[in-house]
Amino acid sequence: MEHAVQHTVQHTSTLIPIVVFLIVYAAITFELVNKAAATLAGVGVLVVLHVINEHQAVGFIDFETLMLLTGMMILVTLIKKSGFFTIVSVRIAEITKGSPVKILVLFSVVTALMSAFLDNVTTVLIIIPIIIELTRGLGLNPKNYVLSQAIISNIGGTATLIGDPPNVIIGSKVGLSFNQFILTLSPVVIVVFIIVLAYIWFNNRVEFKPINTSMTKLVAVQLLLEKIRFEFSNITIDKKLMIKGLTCLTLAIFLFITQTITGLAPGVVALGMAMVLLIISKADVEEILEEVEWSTLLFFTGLFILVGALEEYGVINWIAQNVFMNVGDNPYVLVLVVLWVSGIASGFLDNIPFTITMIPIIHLLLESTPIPNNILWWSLALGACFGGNITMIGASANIVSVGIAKKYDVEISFIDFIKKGAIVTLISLTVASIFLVLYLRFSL
Amino acid sequence: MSNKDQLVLDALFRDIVKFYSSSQTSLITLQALQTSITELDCSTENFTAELTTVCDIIKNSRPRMFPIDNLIILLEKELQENNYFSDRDMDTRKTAIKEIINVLAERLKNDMNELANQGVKHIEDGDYIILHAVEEPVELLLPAAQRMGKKFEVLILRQDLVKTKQVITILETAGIKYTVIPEWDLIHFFDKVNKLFIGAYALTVDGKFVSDSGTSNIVSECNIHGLPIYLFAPSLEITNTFSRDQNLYLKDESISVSGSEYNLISHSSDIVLLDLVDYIITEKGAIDKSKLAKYCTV
Repeated sequence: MEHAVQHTVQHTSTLIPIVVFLIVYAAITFELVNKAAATLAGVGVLVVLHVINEHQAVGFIDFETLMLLTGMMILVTLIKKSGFFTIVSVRIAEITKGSPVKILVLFSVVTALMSAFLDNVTTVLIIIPIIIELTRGLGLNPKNYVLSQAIISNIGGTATLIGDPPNVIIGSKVGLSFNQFILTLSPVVIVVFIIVLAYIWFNNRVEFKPINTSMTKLVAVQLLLEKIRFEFSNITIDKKLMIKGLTCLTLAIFLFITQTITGLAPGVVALGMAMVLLIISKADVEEILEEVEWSTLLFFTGLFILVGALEEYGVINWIAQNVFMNVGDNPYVLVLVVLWVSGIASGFLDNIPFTITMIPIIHLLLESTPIPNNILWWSLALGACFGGNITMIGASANIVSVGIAKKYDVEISFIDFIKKGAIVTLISLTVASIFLVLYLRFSL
Repeated sequence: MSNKDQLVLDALFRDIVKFYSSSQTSLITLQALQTSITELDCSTENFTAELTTVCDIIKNSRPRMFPIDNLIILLEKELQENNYFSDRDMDTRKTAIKEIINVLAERLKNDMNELANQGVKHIEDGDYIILHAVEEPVELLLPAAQRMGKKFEVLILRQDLVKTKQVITILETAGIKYTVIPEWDLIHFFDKVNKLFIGAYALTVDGKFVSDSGTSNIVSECNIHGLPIYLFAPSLEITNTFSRDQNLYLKDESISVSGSEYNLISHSSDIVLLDLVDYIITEKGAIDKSKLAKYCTV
């Protein structure tokens, strides 16, 4: 009798974090409430119902991830304030000379590079307005260009530890270094980037005809560049801040690369350099801190606690045992299942909570089926990052891009996004599959 | 001619003239034309058609924009009179046409400089001058007068935010003292201000001038209060065409405020009677408005 009661109580206690987690997940996916509010409310429910206590909750938080994100946000805010990104954007617009193919290629290269070393949302916030101005001014349809930059930002961000939130989480929770990320993932990202760009060009090749056969279009380009120069260059350029900001960012990247020598974790480096920049730039700290995306950081905090509770109550273990381990212990199958499940799930769910949920599952999978060279982690990283391209809600950069486009009267529907995004994801995941299978083949 | 190309260039002209005077916009257009000729990749047979198309589009812009309209007519005249399109290879044609455009640009620059020289004569120590848009007085006259050490102040009437910001930027760069007020507040300043300076897109032979939106209100109000009104424009802005032929652009946009929607209709520019203006100053000095056609150079 006593045993039966104890079992019922334990069963009920396990059910609470699952129900809370599912409700929070649904609220996030369907954007019913603010993400941070949803996760923290979920944590509140768990603490009030004594499912976990506040000390356990704090213990579940991965401060390494939060430090890395906070540090990078402060660095980017200060560099953005210096006007550097505006200068870069206007310069690229000038180099393209209005050629549709050059606009696509050059902006895509810059978007990919910026996304790899900064966060994707900042990248699209900088690139999308100027690409809309440029294409619309030339009488082109901005929709394809906006979509392509959102997609490319997710691809570029996959290349580094700091490029995309799933990578930040995997890097800090698993202990993978900046160099491991860039050396392993950048080759596959470069291949995917080239193929996707070729696909975008081929799919819209009528729009990418050269303009140097029409004098009217050439005149329009010159006038448009004059307008863009005026509109985008009419901001204050702070050269001193630009030099200090770029020096700190370069130093941070250098310290990421030399992590194995210095022993400094990426979170410590990012936050450290951000503090150095805040002090040497004599910036208004209150003003800069207002630009930090606190809601994103709180969202991460809440998620870490919710997933920690699931782990504490053995739910993660159950999922690993009953879902992933059912596919057998063939490493090739496991790697591909993790890649494609992560890819498809990240397209429809937010890839941040998905990654946080998957990390303990992968740990359990690796305990039963050891796979060398962190290949299962690369599977998760590639799946979660590339998968974000399937739908408009798959990644923050997509939502932000569509939002900016709407502000400029460029309507991009859910279907518009999925038509292009799904094919791009299919291409990306196929290339990633080939890469992972070959990598595994040579690792075993 | 593609209607889409016409619409694209029209929109660009309307945007650029928000932050540059029509004279400066014309200079930019001439430079754009030169660059496009250099970069154009087409057969010798198509070259004439390409040039004709772009010239037609510029002359048909909504609204029509002078001095560029007149400068294009001068370019076409020169090309026809000297038979530039016959028996010449592409490079020779391109070089020759770019050279003509260069001469026209130099002429406009000289006229603008001379307009500044003539204009500063009408600025005296202690003046408190009204301005409202980025026109020739803002770009040319006032910075020149400031460099000469004249002591004056400016009252900026805020209308379009982009234009007002640009006027402020130019005045600040030149170190000119200014005050900004909303246009509707002018009534409270008539005991302080003593001149209104304006520019124009075109001066038409039927005794009118085309200018930035909002000019008509200000000119009328200043005229009622007996304030001297000065119109500064290079003579290349005088046209033999009529005010009704100036292709004013009518913008009809849907506005949504706090849940209620309405259509807002606005014109790209104003047409104002020259009779309301006291002085017309060109690069040749003050001219008689009743003999406008005499000063038209095209």
